[in-house]
Amino acid sequence: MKILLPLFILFSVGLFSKDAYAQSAPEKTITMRLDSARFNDFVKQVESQTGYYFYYDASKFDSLTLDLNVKDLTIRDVLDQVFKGSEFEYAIDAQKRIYITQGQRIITQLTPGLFEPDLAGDNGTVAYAGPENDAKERLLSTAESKLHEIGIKKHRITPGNSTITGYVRNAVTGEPVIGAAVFITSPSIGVTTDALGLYALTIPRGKQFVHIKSTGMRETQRQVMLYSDGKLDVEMRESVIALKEVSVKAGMDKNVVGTQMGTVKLTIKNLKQVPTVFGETDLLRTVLTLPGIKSVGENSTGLNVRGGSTDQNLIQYNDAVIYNPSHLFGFFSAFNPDVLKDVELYKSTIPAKFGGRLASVLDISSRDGNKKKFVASGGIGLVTGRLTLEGPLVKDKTSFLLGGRSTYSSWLIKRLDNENYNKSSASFYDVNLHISHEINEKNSLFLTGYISDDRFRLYGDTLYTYQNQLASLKWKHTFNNRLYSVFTAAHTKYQYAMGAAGLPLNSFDLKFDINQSNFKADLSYVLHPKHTLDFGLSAIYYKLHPGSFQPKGTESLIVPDVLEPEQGTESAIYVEDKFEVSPRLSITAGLRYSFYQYLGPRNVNTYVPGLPIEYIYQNGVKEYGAGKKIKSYGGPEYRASVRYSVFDNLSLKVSYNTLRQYIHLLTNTMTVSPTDIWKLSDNYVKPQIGDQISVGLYRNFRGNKVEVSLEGYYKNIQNFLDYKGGDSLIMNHNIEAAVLNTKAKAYGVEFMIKKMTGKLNGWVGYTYARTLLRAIDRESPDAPNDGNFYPSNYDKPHDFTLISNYRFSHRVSFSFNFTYSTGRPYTPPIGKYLIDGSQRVYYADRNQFRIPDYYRTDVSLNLEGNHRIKKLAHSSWTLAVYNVLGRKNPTSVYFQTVGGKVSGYQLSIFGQPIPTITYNFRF
Amino acid sequence: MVARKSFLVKKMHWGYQAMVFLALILIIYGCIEPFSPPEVNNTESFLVVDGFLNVGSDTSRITLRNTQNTNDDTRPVIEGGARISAEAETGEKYDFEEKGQGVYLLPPVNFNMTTKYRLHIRRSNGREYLSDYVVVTQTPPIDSLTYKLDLRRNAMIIYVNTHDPANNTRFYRWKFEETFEYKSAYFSGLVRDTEAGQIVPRRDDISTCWNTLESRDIKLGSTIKLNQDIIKDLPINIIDISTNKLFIKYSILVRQYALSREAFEYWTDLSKTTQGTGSLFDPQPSQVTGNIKNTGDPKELVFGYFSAVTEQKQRIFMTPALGRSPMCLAPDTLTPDDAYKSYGVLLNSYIDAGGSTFILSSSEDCADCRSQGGTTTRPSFWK
Repeated sequence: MKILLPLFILFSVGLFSKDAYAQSAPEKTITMRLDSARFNDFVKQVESQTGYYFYYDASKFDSLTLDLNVKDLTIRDVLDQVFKGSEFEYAIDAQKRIYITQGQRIITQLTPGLFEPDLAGDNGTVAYAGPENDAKERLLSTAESKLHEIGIKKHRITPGNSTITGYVRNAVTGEPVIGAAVFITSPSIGVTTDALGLYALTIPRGKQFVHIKSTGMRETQRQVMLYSDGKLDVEMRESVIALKEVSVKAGMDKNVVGTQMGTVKLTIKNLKQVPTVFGETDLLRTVLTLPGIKSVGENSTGLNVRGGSTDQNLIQYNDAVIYNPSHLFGFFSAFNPDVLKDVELYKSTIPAKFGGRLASVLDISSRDGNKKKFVASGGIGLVTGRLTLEGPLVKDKTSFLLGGRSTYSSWLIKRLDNENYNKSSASFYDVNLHISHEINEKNSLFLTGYISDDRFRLYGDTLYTYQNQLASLKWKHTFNNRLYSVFTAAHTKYQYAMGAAGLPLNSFDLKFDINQSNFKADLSYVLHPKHTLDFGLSAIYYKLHPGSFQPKGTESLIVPDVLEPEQGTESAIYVEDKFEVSPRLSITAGLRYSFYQYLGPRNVNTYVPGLPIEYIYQNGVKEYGAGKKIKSYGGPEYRASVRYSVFDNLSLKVSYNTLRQYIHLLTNTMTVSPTDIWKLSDNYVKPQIGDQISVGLYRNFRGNKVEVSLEGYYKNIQNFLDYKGGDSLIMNHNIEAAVLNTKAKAYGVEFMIKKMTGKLNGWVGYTYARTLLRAIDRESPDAPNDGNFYPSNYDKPHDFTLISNYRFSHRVSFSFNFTYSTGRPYTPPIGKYLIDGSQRVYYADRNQFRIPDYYRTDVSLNLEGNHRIKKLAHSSWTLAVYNVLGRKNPTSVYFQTVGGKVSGYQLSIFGQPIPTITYNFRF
Repeated sequence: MVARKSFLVKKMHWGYQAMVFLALILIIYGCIEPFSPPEVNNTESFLVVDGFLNVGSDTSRITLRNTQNTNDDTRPVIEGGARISAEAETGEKYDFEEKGQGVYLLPPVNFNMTTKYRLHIRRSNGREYLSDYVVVTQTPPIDSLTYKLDLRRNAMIIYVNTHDPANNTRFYRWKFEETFEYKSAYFSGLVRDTEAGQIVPRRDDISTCWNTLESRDIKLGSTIKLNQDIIKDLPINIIDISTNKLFIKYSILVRQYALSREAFEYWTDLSKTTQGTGSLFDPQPSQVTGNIKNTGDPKELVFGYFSAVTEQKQRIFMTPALGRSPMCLAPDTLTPDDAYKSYGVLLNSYIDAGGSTFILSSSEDCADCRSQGGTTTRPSFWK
């Protein structure tokens, strides 16, 4: 306060600030000694010594006594001493009036620099000098009600548009709020914040109400008077009710306003709402309840997105690719719910910055650690235990988040009523470390490390283990208001091993691993208020060890067999323009060019030309030296989407994209199995190329509370991989001979109604989808079904999901979920014959019959303690029943010849109601 | 000062520490239930070729049958009236001779072991079938058959040992026939003479039987991943003690065949398709047909794999006396008239203190060993 307030403010405000003069003139000091004095005695003394006059509510102070001993202190120093640590605030205005208030300080002057942003700065005014954290929370409401003047003030506003840029941040943690919708309603113009929380909104000049909404955050708005381009930072608060009945607002406006289609964002709070079989929040299992996403069975977390196979999903955890996102045969997903922030799934419009997989991108982000204070949280579940620690390393600059999860599930496995499983044991753990560091306003660094480890012993003597290890370092750099960038370096390793020690002569160790190092640069440039340009590049280096088979123990006669390592590079450059043609029409068009090289050293099998790629036709090998190019592929990938607002709250979107995939998961089993291997494209295994066109209609009702969407898509996939029956994919030196190249087509319609606010919330989704395959070489004897189209393993045409939550009161809520889907196709035996003294069966054409339909109902009841914020501990009970009807949904059907007779069986995994009771508390 | 407490609480506000206690009552239950496949009206039936060309010193035997519906419980329809011949790549042709019941036989010939052979079938309906040419595989002899009691499983396990010093064979298949001697619980010493209308002493012995069973599952072995062509202690049969096969005397004849890689793959696929364990990670079923094709329509399904191979066999006997004496309810005591009219098997007679004659009678299961599937004819190899 020792700084002279610039005079022009005084003039422009039209006030003659005595306070400003008072600051420059020597101020009267106070000397007094009080002993258990009443507050009004203190007031009288001060008023007589200084000439200041107090305004306060006497009733609040009548029981209060004061001890004070001060000498030659200014009025402010005395008041600071008196009110320090209390909930009272004081404010002094220019007319020597002192206002004492409880909780909120009276603001005695307008924002400095309000009318002259260039000169606004640290002038230390009373009103906005470094508010405390909790005071800030209160101030936010004032930010909502006041008018923010943006740009250089003019007397007359010329018609036309100007751009507001700024950051949206979490008021408590300071974290950027990503994907928040920033919009005005009339005309309907909106944008979303990027990865730094930055937005740029171009709207007509004049007075506007800017709304800001984001998942799990309290909706806020700003009144702005827009004169010209300028800056407006927004702080948002989290919803206070953050237990189960969260009101989620993400994507509500995005649904209609954004050009993105087929994009779903789920936050950890959405995820927590969906009951799961073991009571633990499960990311992948919740994603599976969304339209267009299927899996072959309920034990599997392999996602089949719009007819894609499970390897066609780019699953990224903080920008590092994760190859096996599941624990324990797929019963759990590999992500610790305590460290997750949100997950974003792209299934139709895939932004040009992503590539390398055909069907979808699942972009999973962890939270940043708390930058203000240390927090420990955790949980003890039936199957897993979790502990998460977070806190600042350097306050407000650097924070860490360390999460660990482990299981004690072996005893659980022993309870499985299946001989094959209850002789088994299983365990897993995962550890996450996330460090975020803000170098300055323009530079932040993020470091993520993740390891997971799974081991299970199946049938007594075979031990399977697998590990995911990944690390990523991300640097976010803002060049200026218009150009910002994210640079990411990441490394991923996935490996599995299988050891068998049953027979000493045949004991072995089987190993596989995949390593991926990648670098990418993503830049975003606001070219023009109507054009935002995203561009960047990416480079990946792969190294795979497809298999090593080694003797175990001295007695073992196993011949060591090691498949040669594979290596390749995949690089891409892209550019994408987001063009707001008019408030009604916006276009996003992108081009990505990807280039792949398969590199030596490696010996490549050669086959007799003109004959099928079969072991029996192999005529030699061709040797390639280290680093030598064996085969290269590449091509452009087009990404385009258009949004047209037919009228308010109804929009039509069309998108088209092509994608290329150079790495493939080879699997011929029903579910993703622990011994599935990944394979790079080579001379024989060609890259998979997919192209998809989608059309959608989006409509929001009842003030964006109810969101309705209808999307249709058609997709073609070339070189889709299927497998010849019976060939083993493990340790196969002629893996190309076991693979069947097919052409796939997938099409479907997805309908969804979502209501995420109000007493009743949830979503209803219906999908009709088909996925059909056909061998490329239709004449080959291996071509299934005489070379005609046949359904894929996960072709389930009808799928209906209801996720609902009803809040009876703030303390009682009830969830009811229902899922129906058509049974998975299978291949039944249609005849039998006698050979070699035993009866054998032969099978129908591939996937021409279906197992019984799947339906399941889950319920859960959530009871909470009272919501008094000052209560020391918050507790809640959750009672849930998974599969409450106890339907024995067959996961698979199979046929066995036992004692010469063919018998059919069906296997259901969770074939009866599974009740769980959870008690939560936190403090 | 005032409100200090609430200030503190606010400071901790959302500085939240969560402890979650889960008390879960959970019953996980994976269950397997029988599943009846949908009625598949498959009226078509296909040719099944069962057998191989024995290039050793035994008769070659090929059986032709037709496929059936999975729920057809009748005997498979045999294919008679066909003409079968084995053709060497060098031009020689060996015709099989039809023996009825779909069986076609070829007596041992001095085969050229260095050439390839194929099977040629002409059905009575005129369709012609040819197999691929196959190389002759020569089977090394069985080194030994051993057996060991596994107390944990309460079973006797029979192992096969073999090796090929030339390291050529690599792929093996085994079949076996097991024969065991067993007795009924009671000895039948009397029989009804229906001509004379009276009970007379029995001349044949129906209390001692021999039963022969053939292997049903496909037994395969490979040394392709070992650096020596040695099969050591490969379990070939597991005999539960509770079957009582081992109580008196047991014998097993093991037949060993060397396979080509293709034949091995055929048998592996066949066993995978129909002996799958149903675990979550098993490959999907696929259609396994073989190496025989209809010359006019290659898409027609034909089942069976033709190979040309020498056979090696070995038999062992064992008398481990494991199991227990057969037990039955006490026999009925009947008057001779009642006994004659009854349906029981008659054991013997006795005269009580009062001088009346009574006949002891029991059920077939207890007194006639043939009711359990064996024959009373002592096999020629039995010793």
